[in-house]
Amino acid sequence: MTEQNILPSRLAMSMFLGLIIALVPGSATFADAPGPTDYSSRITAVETLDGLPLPEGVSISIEGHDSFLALTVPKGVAAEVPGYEGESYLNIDPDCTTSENQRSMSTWYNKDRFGGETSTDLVDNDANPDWKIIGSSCSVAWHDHRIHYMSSIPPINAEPGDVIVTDSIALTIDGRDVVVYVESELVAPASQLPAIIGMMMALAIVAVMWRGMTLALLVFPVSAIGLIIGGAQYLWAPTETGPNINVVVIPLIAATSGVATYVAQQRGLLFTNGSALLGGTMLTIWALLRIDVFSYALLPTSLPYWADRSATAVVAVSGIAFVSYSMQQLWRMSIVRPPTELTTD
Amino acid sequence: MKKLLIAVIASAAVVATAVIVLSGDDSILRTASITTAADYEYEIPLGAGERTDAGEELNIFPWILKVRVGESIRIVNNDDRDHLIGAFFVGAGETLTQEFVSPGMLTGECSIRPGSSFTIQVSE
Repeated sequence: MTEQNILPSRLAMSMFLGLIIALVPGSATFADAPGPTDYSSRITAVETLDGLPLPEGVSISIEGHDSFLALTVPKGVAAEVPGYEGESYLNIDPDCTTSENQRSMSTWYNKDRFGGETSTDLVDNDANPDWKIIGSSCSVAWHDHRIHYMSSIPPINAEPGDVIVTDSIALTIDGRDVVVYVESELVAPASQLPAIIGMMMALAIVAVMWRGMTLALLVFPVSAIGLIIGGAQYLWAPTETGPNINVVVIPLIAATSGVATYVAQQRGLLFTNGSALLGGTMLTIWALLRIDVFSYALLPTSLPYWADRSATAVVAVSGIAFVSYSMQQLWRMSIVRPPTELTTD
Repeated sequence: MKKLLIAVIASAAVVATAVIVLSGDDSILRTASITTAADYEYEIPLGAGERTDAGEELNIFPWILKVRVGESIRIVNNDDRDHLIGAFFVGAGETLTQEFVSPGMLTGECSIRPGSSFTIQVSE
């Protein structure tokens, strides 16, 4: 079997395995992890109806800028979160077991940031609760739609700084009625400058290395940038909010491909460019997954937003360049004719 | 060198297109400000927010309003707090006047009537 013959099958196998590895963890994540947004929600007050302070160790917070309402209680304290119609929705038992009523409309409506999933045969708010255990950490976090504006398009006439949503959420903690008051504010739009600078920098570097036929060597450093940015996003959100592991796994596969491009230099251009193609594909997919960072004001990361946007632009441009470059190289290899023997009379 | 330039320009174009498409305005209805009398006029009275907090149901806005392109709506907010009326935000003491310039549907929550929405259907 010649090198040209094994080229398509090996490439296809590499791409297939890479995609499988990348997509499998996605099924294990929670639905709709915190993402970029234009709204900042905050708790303005927490009141107990009996006027007494909450038990020590109780924490109520908004996570993901405007995405989740999170509740943590100390061991030995029970808590209940009623649904929108007062039905049983979430429970934290004194032993820290957390459970979710599968018959509650709120269980399904709250799966998505914008409340997309509502119809299911299971829902019956008046039926006896069907509790499903969802954790054992004394903590729950849910997409409470009273804490955020329910559209990705800001309301007409709203300006940065306007409070778009004002609402309250009733809870029961340690048998006592608690009301959490919230509001959500529209924030100023993001600057595109970091993304443009990142794009220009990446284009310049890519152009130089493409010309020098050494572009494949960039796969690892660019993947490392993606890994740092993805890692910061993954670690930023609490576990209860189901951060998406794909933002780490995909650049990790790309980084592995990047290492392979170094190792593969000993084995020939086929392996080098095949690895670069896989790495570039992974980085392009990663950048597409995170494309919203360019259009929303607040990002799901602990890093400075300018760093996230410029790095994502670098990865996006580089990923596309790696794919283009490696495919060009592989195409060139495929059309190279074996040398013909010279014959003399 | 020519191929290199083409590839770089193509990469830039792909990224730029993706950014523009994904960050663009994807609303299906455009509106425009006007200063003349509106076809549909609504007023939010002073104290509306407090009355809503107290559980009173204020039937100021319909659930669905069917309008035609070229018609307009005016919402006068005389309350001392901001209100979200469907897809519109009207600050305290502000007046919002909008003309519907293309068909589509606008919907959103209504802070005057908690738990409900206000939908505007615009037809030709």
